[in-house]
Amino acid sequence: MPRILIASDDEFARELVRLALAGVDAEVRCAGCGAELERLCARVLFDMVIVLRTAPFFCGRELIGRLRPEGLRRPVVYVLSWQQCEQTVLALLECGVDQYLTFPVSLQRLRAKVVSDLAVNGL
Amino acid sequence: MNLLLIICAVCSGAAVVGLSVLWVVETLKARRQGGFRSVLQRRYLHIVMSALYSGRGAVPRFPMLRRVGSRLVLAETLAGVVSMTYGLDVGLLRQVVARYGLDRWLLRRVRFAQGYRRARYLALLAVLPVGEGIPPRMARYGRSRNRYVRFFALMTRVSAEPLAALRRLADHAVPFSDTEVAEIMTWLRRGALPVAYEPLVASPSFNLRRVGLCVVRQFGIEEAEPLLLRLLDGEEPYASGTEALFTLCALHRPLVRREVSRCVARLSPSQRRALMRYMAQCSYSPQVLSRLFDDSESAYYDTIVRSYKRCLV
Amino acid sequence: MIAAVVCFVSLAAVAGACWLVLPLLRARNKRLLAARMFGTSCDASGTIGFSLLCSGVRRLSQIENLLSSEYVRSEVVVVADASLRRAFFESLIARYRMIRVEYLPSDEFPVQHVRSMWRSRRRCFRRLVLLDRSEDTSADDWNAAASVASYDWLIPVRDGQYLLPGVLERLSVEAGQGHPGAVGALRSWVGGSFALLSRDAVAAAGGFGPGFLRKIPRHARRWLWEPFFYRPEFRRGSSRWRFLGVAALGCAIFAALWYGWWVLAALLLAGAVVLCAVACAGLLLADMAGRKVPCKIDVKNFTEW
Repeated sequence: MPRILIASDDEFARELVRLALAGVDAEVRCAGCGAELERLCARVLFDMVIVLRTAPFFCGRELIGRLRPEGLRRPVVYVLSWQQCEQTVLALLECGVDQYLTFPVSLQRLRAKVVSDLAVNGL
Repeated sequence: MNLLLIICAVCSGAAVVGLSVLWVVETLKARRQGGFRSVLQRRYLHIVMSALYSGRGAVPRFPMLRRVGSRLVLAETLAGVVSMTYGLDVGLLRQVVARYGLDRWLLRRVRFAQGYRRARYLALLAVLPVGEGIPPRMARYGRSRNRYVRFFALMTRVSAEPLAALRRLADHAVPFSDTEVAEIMTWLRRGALPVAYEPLVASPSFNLRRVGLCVVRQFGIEEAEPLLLRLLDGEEPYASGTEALFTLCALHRPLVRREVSRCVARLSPSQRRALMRYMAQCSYSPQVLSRLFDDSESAYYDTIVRSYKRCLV
Repeated sequence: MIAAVVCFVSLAAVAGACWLVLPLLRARNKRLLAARMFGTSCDASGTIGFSLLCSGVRRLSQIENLLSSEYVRSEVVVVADASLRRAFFESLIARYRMIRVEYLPSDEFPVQHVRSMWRSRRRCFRRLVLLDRSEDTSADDWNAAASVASYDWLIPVRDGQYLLPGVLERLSVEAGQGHPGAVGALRSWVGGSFALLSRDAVAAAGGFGPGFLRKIPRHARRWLWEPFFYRPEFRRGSSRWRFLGVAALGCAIFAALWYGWWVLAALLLAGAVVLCAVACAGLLLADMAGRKVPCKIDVKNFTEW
């Protein structure tokens, strides 16, 4: 069963996304954006990580390097945030983020994207 | 003299009791926030999402709704769901609000609260799908001294009656601040109202023009350029011209125009420098500037632009 | 005479308590309102931008914290002396992939002794700017940082001052009010000295320097009653000693009232008012800073579904 991790310091947003993915055939876990996220990713290899902030990618913590082991294309990294500035999106894609969605988000669309990405990766 | 001392002691004692009560209430509230409240919010969110995904359209039951603060938790949960998403079944949410009387309950809280607390409850009302009786009661809060109360009373009316939204936005007596325009944008981004940018940008209302310029900036609508140039050139109030100029820069449009030169000439020196910093962020070359600014100002722009270039020495 | 002094002290204590607690309550409500305004988190809020000017910063964790804001239009300008703090400077350059760029002094602020300027070659760290400057006063560092800052609002930062989450979004609400130029300086003493300064106001005052805030017109200066910075090393004292102190004060008040020593009772009650006000203020500040009071309520009935 594929594993999905949702990371955010905002408990409400995290729960909202978790419940939106309730019908997806996957094991969904939640974590805060800080040390908890890195600790979980060091222990478990997730198939998809959904981060609900942009700052962890811009503050110098090299999050993608910590999430994705060397040479692997997993996990697929999604970012959801309120920003829609072109520079932000480009910077995230440059960092190695696979998909960027802005709030307010269509939960059906998010779910469909997650399902299709998991299917593309054969999971 | 003893009587005076006793009065002072009683006053101080009353203050001690009052502050102690405040301390106890705040401590209990903080504990609820950390424990019961967050658990209850998760529970309510789970119920709302299950109801939305089941597709049956039945209004769900929410446990413990009679407990103190539970209605506020439910209202905040629904408001959170509506704020962060679009494309959900608003009909079901409207039924939930009506069934549990959340709009009437919030209206009562609005009536008894003051200042920013009142604005907070109005902000919740502005997001929730409220009943028909609510918008007319917002008129009195539109005259409040607190600008946030005025704004969220307006937003409550606007989101409850989207067809009259543009008229209400235009009628708002005070010019919108940047934050208020941003709030209107998030409301538009939820798909509350299909909006064409042209009537907004060309509107005689300053507030609608601001919203229109923000729409153009956010969605990168390059076709709006002739309208923006007209704003720069016309006899419009000063602020719209400046904002139109920044919007042109954000769209990366050519600036060597007669209208732009005239608008730049009207700016104060500090505004011109702010514009130059903005242009540097938008990656305009120094050649463009030589026609818009004099030599000393172009030199300032040169220092900014060169600070983005690699030092080869 | 003594009674008059005691009366004055009591009334002053009550007035002081109100002066402390009421603005904090108001600020807390304003902060809760701002937290509901999602528009500030997206990049729709016009051209309001913040430059954080860092002087004397020695820790990478602080720079990481300052860069962690979700507000798009913000940047961090760090001023450091590469000759004195070589290890820190080199770690910054390596971590954020910085390259040396051209530096030309502008005439906006009085700047001296800047050796070089650095920007990141990676887009994700474009919000960081580094200045190499010989170590000097904080005011001179801030002048140097302001001269290369891109935005119209300046926030001076010292060593050990960490930003609370959502601060820039909250400040954008304040900065966007009124017509341009209406606000020159927004200050807060709560939770550490904080100032948000309009670039034009600082430039008109001749840059950062001794007493520069007094040169900003009084009508353009405002106070905020909210914390914006925090210090991670801050620890509260033992709760046992606080409890003993409060219990002793309570007993003393009771005894003074019992024996009819009104002067002493009034004085002790005035002290109690101050203590209560400080306790309430502490609680409100902790709430605004987002620190939760430890929860002991049993929630096991609701955690399973």
